[in-house]
Formats: sequence, structure tokens, C-alpha cells
Amino acid sequence: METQINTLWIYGDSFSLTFKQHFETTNDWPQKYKNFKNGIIPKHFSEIIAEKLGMNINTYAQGGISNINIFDRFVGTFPLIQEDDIVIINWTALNRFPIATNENNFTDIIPFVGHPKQNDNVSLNTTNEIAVNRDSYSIYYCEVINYCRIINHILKNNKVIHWTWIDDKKELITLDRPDFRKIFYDYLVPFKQYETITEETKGFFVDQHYSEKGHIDLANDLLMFLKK
Amino acid sequence: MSWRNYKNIYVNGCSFTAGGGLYPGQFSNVVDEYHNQFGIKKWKSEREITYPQKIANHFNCNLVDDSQCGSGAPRLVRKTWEYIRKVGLDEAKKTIFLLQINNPINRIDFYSRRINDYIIVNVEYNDDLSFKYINVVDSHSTTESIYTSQFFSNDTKDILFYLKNFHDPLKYNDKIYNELLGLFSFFEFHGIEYFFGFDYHGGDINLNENRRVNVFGFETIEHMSNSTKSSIYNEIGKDYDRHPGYFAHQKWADGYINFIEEKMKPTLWVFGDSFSSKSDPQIDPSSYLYTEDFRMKYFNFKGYFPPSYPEIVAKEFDLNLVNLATPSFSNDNIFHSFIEVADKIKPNDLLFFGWTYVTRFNIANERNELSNVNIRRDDNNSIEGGVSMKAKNEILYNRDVHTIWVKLLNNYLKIINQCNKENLILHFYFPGSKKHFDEYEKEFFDQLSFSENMYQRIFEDTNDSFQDGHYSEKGHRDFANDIIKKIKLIWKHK
Repeated sequence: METQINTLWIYGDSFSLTFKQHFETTNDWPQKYKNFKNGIIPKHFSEIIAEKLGMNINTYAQGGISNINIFDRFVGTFPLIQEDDIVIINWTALNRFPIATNENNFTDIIPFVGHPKQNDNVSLNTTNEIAVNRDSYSIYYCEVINYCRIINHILKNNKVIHWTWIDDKKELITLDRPDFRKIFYDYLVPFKQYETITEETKGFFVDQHYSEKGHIDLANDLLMFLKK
Repeated sequence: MSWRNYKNIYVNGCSFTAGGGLYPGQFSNVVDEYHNQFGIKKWKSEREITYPQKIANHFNCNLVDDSQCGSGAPRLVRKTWEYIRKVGLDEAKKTIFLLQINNPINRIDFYSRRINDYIIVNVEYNDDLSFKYINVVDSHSTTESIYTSQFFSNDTKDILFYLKNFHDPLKYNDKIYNELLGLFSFFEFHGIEYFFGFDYHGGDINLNENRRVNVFGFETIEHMSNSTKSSIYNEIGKDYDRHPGYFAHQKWADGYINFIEEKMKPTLWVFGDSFSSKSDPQIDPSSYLYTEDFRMKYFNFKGYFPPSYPEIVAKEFDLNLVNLATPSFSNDNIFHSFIEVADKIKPNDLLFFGWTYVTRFNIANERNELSNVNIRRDDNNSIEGGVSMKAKNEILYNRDVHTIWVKLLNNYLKIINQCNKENLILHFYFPGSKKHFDEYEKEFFDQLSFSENMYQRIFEDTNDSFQDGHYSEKGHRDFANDIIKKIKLIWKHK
């Protein structure tokens, strides 16, 4: 009898791309990190978990993506998710948001990093103003809270993990509204900081993605969470 | 047409349901006591004043009351199956089953060849499982019993022999629980409406808790009457029976009716913008909207709030209405308002979505609320949450000229349809259709329930006395009628 192998579905931003997948991007840090590791490409948390649980991996992550598009990628693929599959979603910075390009695609704005590739009909001032707005008010947490809620509702029979690498300690305008930030973080596996490449290389080169050890620790924590 | 298209109420249970202790006749003056003390009209049979009768009357259904004094789960399972087999599956689907389940350990179902009918065997055990007593009757009801208890005295010995040698009360309990599971699974499989309450701890396998009776916090009338001290003894104040009293039955019936209505009556959920919003906005007179809201202006013209299409549809089909549509909502707002209630939607509920312009978007305002940006701004001082007029207009333009934004909307529709497969969902779009589509727009318009929306607008009704493009009273009525026709058609084909 053929045994069905279940799938680990990965959604998120660059933190959910494997080191191998990072090599397919135009970033130079993967090569630098590989050189630092004497030519060895470390394992990503998703690979460690999939190996441990004997699962296939489907990754729908993308570097620089916004939460809106992380959710959109989930919507585009969730009918394929089978019983006993596991879903791990990393949510990203709230200040990222999409605009339409001249080619009628989306580009996600990562604010304050120079004029990004974007549509000429939206100026840098505009994207900066929107980003400041999204960075200032706690109400935007409701967007991602609702994404977590509907995903959990749809996949009530699957194991679903929400997590983030964002350690959001900035002061937000909340007024007398509920503590949306806390509500969001309550949906996640307890937030923890993992070792970054900057820390591992002692600043030899600066990159906030997780190091090899960071991924091993994250994978172990998520596995513990999956066992619960 | 209504959701109340049930023909029968089927009830089963023990004396708590069958009106135990409320027997009229020569052995009891309970009827006189209720009449003398409370002016209650005298009854000829206890079945006239029990909760099943009141529930059946309320729903205008035939009552099949198979409850029997002294009986328990074994007889309940048998009689319920017998009913289903007798009336057939189609009729069973038109029946609401209300089951009050009592302990099979003390209430065994036997067949007597002597009377060619089933008999009730009540057994009481000591703590060491030895027999305390055994009692055999055809019925405990003084009005329904045919045979005296002496009639079965010889049978008692034989039954005792059988029970001692071929029966284990705990194993019997498991067996009957399994049979109950089978019955409930049958109900679930065929979508038959049923509700149950246990007078004892049933079993360990999870049942559909959504079907467990919860009336005033109790699952059976006995639990209620015991806790609220409303037995016959409590009600008429003499040393009478401890079964639920007359008033307990009336109270339980009222609560049970509400419970059934709440569980079964579908809700019409409405998500959208001003086109789908409530007819009466209930605006505080101190708000600027009290004079500016289009519904208030229309009210001043008509002298009343004409019903909106969701209200007309809800009334037509006798549905609960939860209208979450809010003027100037963006599609994001509409989708998020759906998410916030998604786990409250029942499988028989109806969902209406009135989608709007994709150009509309949200930014946070100074009150830490999401404010809607829906029309081009021409006031340089129009700054919300630090976002300037120019920025808002640029985003509006970006959303207006690129149809990729419709792809996001299409995905909202996909997720809504996917996670509510059992519901009747209608999608509308009020800004009107276009002549030329690209692939994203085509996908969107293909998912709409109506391709045209040529209904009368307020400016037409008011002969342009005020310019407003929302539907007029006639527009709402015509649109509602088209929806009603569509729903009837869908239900007919289902």
C-alpha cells in the first residue's frame, strides 16, 4: 500500500525562503554567508522540520512581500492543502503594502529604503506617507489578526503555526482602542529572538536574517509547538 | 416560503417528558389542585399540557410523542428508528426530533409474547450491582396503562433470571450508547434536525455539541425542575409527585421553542457598503450625518424609511437579519467584516455581499480607526493620519487604472465561497458593469449573482430634487424581488 507523504506549507517573506532559494535572488548575502560557512549551505527551519517529520515542502514565500500578499498567496493555494498537512506562516512588517505597477502587477513597498521600483503614478513621498501612517497606528494590526483568524477558521483540522521575526517595540498610537498588537502576538508562537547572521559573523557582514543556529533553534521551537 | 417547512415534531423520553405525575383520574386529584389553586383549565390527558404539545402547537406541526413513563434510552432508540422506518426518509427529513434520554441501566426494553407488545422493565441495583428491585409494567401512566402490575408478576421472575445470567448493566449501557451514536450519525448523514439532552452521563465519545439542548442552562426538563424547584410538589405545595409540574412544562416549552428557533432559523448576513445598509441609519441627532446621510435625506422626502433589499428578503423568508453593511466601506472593510463573524455563520445561513469600487482604500485616522478614502480629494488641507491629499489621490489613481486590484477582490470571493460551501451566497456589485473587461474583471463579473443592476435610483424617484445614485424604495423592492426569485430557484434545484 502506498503511504501518502504529507506536505509542509510555508508562507511568508525572506525569512521563510531557504538558503538555496536565496541563491536564486539577486541578493549577494547568500554567497557571502556561504563563503563564511566554508562553502556549506546551512539548512533552513522548514527543511529541518520537513526532514524530521518526513514531509514534502511547498514554499510560497517571497522576499520583501507584504502581509496582504502573504495572505493572497495563501488564498491562491489553500484549496490544495490536505488533511494532516502542516502550515507555517511568517507575518512581516505592517508598514509594507502593495501598489500596482505599470505592468499591472503588484510590487510591495518596503518603505524608507530609497525610491523602490514602483509605478510612476505613485511618488516616493506618497509611499513614505502611507508607510508612516501604517507604522504609527495600532489599528493596522487588525488586518493581520483577521488573516490569522480566517486561516485558523478555514484550516481548523490542520496544524497551523503563525510566527513573526518582527520584534515590534515601537510606540504606536493606540488611544482607547484594544491592545491590537498584543492580540496579534497572542495568535503567534511565543515571540523569541534567534541568532542572526550579523551576530554569528560578529558584524563581519550585516544581515538580519537568521543564522544556521538561528534556524536550528527556530525549527526546534516550532517542532515543540507542533507536538502540543 | 419559510425555513419553517417542517411537518412533524417527534418527541421521545421518559415520564419527565410524558407528563408523569400530572395524570387526571380517580387516583389523583392533581388536576383539581391546579384548577383550584391557579385557575388552570382541567385537562383530560396529561399529554395536553406537556411541553411537546406546546412546542408542536408553536411550530404548527403534527406531534408524534413517543415518550413513555418509566422508559429509557433503549426504548427511545427503538421507537425512533421505528418511526423513521414507518414514515420513510423523506418524511423523516421533514421532522424535528427532540430526544430526552434517560438511563439504560435502570430502564430496559423487553418484549412480552403474552401481550404481544413491549414492556418497561425498571431495575434498581445496589452498589455491588446486586438487584435492589425489579418492576415490570406496560406503562406507569395511570391513564395509559392497560395491565395491572400483578399481571406481570410471573414475568418478573423470568426476567430476573435472564438479567442475572445474560445481562451486564455496564455492557448494556455501552451497547445502547453505541446505538444512540448510530442514530445520531444517521441524522447527521441525512441532514435531519435533532436535539438531545441526557438525564445521566451518556458516554465518552464526543457528540455534536451543537445538538445538545441548552434551555436556561439545562439539557432536560428534569434538570431544570429539580434545580429551580418546580416539581408538582413544589408547585401545588402538597406531598405530591416530584416530576416536573404544570408550570415547569410551560416554562420548558417556551425556552425550548426559543432554543429551536435560535438553532434552526437561518440568518441573513449582509456585508457591503451604503447600497446594502440598513434603511434606518439610527443616527444621533447631534451628528452632522443626521442631515447629510442619504437615508435621512430620503426619509425627509418620503416621510418614512423605505425598507432596503436585505430587510425585504429577510421578511419574505422569515430570516434573522444581521446587516453589517456600512456606508463608504471599501472591499477590504467588507471582507474583514465577514472574517470577524465567519465562525458564527451556520450552514443554513444566507450570505449577501455587496461589493464596491476597488479604488476605495483605508488609512488610519487620528482616532486610530480605519478611514475610507473613496473619492478624489481637492482640499490641500485634507490630511488624515499624516497622509496628504496628493498621496491619497495618487493611491486612488493607482487603484483606478490597474485591474490587478480586482485580482485581490477575486481572491476574497474565492475564500468566502470556499469556506462557506454549504451556504447560499450571493455577490452583488453596485457601481455597475463595464463594457470591456480584462481577465481579472471578467473573473469578477462572472462570479456576480446579477449582471445588470438597472433599478430605480433616488434621483429618479425624487425627480432630481436631490441627486443621489442609491436605490430608491422601488429600486430596493424590485431588486429584492429579483433576489427572492433567484433564491427560490436555487432552493428548488437543491
